Amino acid sequence: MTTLFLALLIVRNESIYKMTLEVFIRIAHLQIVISFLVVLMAVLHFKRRSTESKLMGLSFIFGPIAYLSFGILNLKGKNVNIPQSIETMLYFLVLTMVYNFTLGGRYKKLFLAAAIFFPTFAVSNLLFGQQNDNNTYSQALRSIILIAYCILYCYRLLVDLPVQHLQRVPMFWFNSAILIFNAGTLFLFLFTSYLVEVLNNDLLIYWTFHNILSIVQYSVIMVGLWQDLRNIKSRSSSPSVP
Amino acid sequence: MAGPSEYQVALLIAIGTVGMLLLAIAIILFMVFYQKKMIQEQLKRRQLELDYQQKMMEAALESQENERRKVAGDLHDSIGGMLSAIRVGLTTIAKQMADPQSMEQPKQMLDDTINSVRSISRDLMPSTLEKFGLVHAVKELCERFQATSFLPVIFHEQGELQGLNQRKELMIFRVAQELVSNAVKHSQATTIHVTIRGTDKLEMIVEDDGVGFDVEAERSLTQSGKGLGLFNIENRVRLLSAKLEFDDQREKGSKITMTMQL
Repeated sequence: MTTLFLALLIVRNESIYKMTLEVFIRIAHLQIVISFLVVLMAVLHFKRRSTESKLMGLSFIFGPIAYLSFGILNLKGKNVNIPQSIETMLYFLVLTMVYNFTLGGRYKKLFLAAAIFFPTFAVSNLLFGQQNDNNTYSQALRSIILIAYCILYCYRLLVDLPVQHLQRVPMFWFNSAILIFNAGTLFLFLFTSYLVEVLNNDLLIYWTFHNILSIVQYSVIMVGLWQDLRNIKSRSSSPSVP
Repeated sequence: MAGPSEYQVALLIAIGTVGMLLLAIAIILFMVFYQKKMIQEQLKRRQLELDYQQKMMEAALESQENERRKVAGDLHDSIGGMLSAIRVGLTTIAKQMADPQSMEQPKQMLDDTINSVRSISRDLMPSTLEKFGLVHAVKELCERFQATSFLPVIFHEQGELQGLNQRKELMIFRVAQELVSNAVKHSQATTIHVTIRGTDKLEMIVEDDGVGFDVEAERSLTQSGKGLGLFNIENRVRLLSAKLEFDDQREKGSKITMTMQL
């Protein structure tokens, strides 16, 4: 996938650009459909699901809602950046809750500080920084903080050794998905502003890659949600301990 | 001076992205493999600790049995022997006395003492077990409990036991002794059944129609240091690599089954 991305960047010709526009729209739609699927999957057996899975499902509701609001706001000639910024903040806050819960409130102060600092930065960026442009600095900061969360989770997992089979832990899949997506998109977010403002790039290829990574993220999260379902079923089929 | 070209920025993004992705994948893979390795180490350590505990337990039980054997031997041979000699002496003196009837009560008391010493000695180390094997020893145990408690302790034997060494037989006997003793003392039963089945596996069942008991409550008593019966039974069962099952579905009484592969 990355090799393909490199090839697309290096072999730059007209036909690829035309193809990318169509592909971009298709992939964007596919991404929205899969994110809906993630939400639907999280809703299945909602009451019996683990808190992490419930919160993960909740975190992916914001993306499609923001995406749908772009079209409506765009038609009315209004700023589409506000719903996107709200989505960025809500997504971040829900994930902060997920990690705080998963780590048993051990780093509560750290998560609280991040939950205050990031929205403050995002709002400041929206008001005084990138304003009406795509607020990629906020997204870049979000990626950095989320990568730190992921590494913290990995560290705790190695220290605590809570289970024998990691692949049976839904949070392991969620964490892997978040880590891969944020690590893959960090450089993209850091350079988007430069690409648009200085080089006048239309970002199609870059954003197509971003969307592909989103699809990978959703797919891995779906594996985690499926694993959570399996855990629910195995819990209900095993006899209760007297 | 002009800034970097689009190509350079694209290359920078590509290299950065690939680097970050590889790092992310490396972290995930490291976590998976390292965690697996750590858990294996932990399991090995636990196994070693378990082996050590088992060896310690085995040594403790062995020394307990040796001590019992020594005390039983001393009681039987030394004290028992002396009491028997005194009994013979008393009989001789009684014959020479004008009123031999006056010696009847001390003789009776001496007989009771001799019987008690024999009984204690047998409890400590049953000679039947060494001479005739487990089945006979458990049968004799049931008879003795029946005689002392006036409670029917019925023994059933099915199949033929083979392939048990003396050490294992002694441990199984101790389990039977503890189970029957508990049933007699605490169950308020009207009948106790002891069954030994054996062909390719040994099954020993102690069943009563008494008030039953709560296994978990007994275990917590053991943990608080109040009751050692169940603890000793479970330790011996563990050393025998056997399985102990408590039938908690019964409406009345209790049924404890020990199963062991022969």
